[in-house]
Amino acid sequence: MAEQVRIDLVADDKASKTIDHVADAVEDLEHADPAVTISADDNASTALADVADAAAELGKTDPTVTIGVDDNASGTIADVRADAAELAARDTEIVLQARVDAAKADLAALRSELEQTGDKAQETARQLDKVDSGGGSNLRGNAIADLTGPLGDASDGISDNAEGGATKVGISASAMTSAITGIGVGVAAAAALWTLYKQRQEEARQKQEQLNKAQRDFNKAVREGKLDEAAQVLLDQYGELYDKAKLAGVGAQEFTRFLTAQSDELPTLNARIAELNTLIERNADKGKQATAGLAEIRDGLLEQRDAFKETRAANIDANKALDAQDDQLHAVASTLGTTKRKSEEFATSQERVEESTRRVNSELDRMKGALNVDQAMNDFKRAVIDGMAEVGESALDQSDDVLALKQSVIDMGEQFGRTPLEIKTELDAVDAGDLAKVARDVEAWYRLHPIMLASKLDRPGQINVGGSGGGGVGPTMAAPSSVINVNMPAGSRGVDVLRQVSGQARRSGRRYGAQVVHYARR
Amino acid sequence: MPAASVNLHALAADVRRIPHAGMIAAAKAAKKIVDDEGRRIAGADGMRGKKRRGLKLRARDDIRDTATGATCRVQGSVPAWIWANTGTKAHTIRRRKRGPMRKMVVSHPGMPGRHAWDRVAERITRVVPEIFAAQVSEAIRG
Repeated sequence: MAEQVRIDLVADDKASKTIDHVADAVEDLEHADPAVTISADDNASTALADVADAAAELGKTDPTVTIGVDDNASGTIADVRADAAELAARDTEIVLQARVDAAKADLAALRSELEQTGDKAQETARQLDKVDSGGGSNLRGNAIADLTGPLGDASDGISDNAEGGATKVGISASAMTSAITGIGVGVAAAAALWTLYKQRQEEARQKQEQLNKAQRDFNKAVREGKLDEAAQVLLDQYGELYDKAKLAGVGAQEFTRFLTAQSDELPTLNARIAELNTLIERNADKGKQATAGLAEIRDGLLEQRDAFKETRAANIDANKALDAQDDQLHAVASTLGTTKRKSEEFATSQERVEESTRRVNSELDRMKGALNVDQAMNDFKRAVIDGMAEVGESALDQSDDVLALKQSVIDMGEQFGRTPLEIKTELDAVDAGDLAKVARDVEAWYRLHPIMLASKLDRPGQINVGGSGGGGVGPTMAAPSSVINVNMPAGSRGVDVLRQVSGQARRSGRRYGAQVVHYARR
Repeated sequence: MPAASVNLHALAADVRRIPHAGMIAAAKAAKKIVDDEGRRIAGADGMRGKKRRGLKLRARDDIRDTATGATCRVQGSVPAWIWANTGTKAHTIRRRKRGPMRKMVVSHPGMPGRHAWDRVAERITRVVPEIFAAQVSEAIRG
């Protein structure tokens, strides 16, 4: 059963009848005349009078409500409030005091460790003096001072920071007494760590930018042959390293070659470390305490060498980063060039599309022309048939029918591109009543019309137009794989025929030209 | 002031008119729902093929009074409602193009149903009772 797309709505009224019944009952009730007797109750009136008297009596009274205040309770509340405030303040102070105390204890431990390190360095210096009592190699010197110096400075700096930190904690504690109880210590610590992390990130980014800029300036100065300027850039950037290298006995030329990746090692520094190793081995039999100072110096030099290598690696990385930036610039420029070429190719494609559109329009015009030719030919045939019928009845005269036939002949002549002389000849034939000749000639015009002629050329490989003219004509634009022989009929125009034939050649794998007209006539 | 019985009789008359009056409003609402769903499926120009006038998905209504009330039948106006509701199987279509042809029919792969009439029924089921409820409420309030 076929599916139904319908919906049935049903509305039934069952209420109106009921309402009518009720209305009828009410109407009956309205028409009835019931008698209602109301009797007064004396007891009730007495009771009402008593109630009125009691109300009047109550209105005369002036009630007073007294609310007593318990001084003991208010005192207790005040005490509790004071205790709470004191407790809150005390808790805050306890927490803050504990944190400050813990920080101070950590600082004290750190200071103690630093002082121990300084003492150890001094001890090492003394041991070194003992080992190298002749004083020839001057191994102690500034190296130890460099080691202890920064440590001492760091210690002082940390102490200063600790004092400052304690002061800051005290200020914030007094300002944030009410809010600090709501903040967990862990959250505060995480926030501090995050801030520190962001600061480090920013510092690292700025340092990397400075390094890149300095490297670019250096490369530019070298490229332009400004060696003094390049040397100044290096000194500005790595002045401290040059000083340390000088202290380690490494010459500026050697260090520059190492820093600019012209050499992979620092021979002088390596020789110094090797010399220290030799001394340590030579004095190994004097005990570990005797060589401890030498080992300390050697370790310091090794650390210096590692620092130099790290700087050199950073330098190389910066150069790589600059090369990568240059590569990206080249890639972007190349992409822009490619985009420009794509745009030019697109413009060329657009010109091709326009040319193709123009060609299609031309073909459409030709198809319309073919239809017009057919229509004109049909009209002419109809006129000729009518005329010939009238000739059969001997009724052809200079009436409207003859004029219509002549007009049709003129139209056909214009349509088929005939000369005025040819058209005049046909008109004379109409006047002479030789309509058969007119029809034959116009039929010939129709057959030889370029469009109709092309529509009859069904195969591009071998085309025979027929007629008595003879003579092979080789088209100049046909496909190279095919030879087209066209036998020109008498009176036909060879140029138009060639154009139609050549238009049928294959282009890009498709047929164009007359083949399209051929289909359009169906 | 009119008597209570007069008011009750007027109320009964109003209630008696509700089925017909409410059914007209319900039919209008139902046809509007049908038109709305039809436009959603087929667009403003209707469900159209090539070079042909579009089939507009609308509905007809038929209201009839009965002894106790009124009935209304809302029916999809074209068979295309069935296509839009339950879809079609694969089938062939006769070509209407004039002129010589190699094939007289073309194969249509069929189409899935989009349950358009089901949505119409669902919306009408929800809306029509509200219309009658509003009519009853208006009659009672006077």
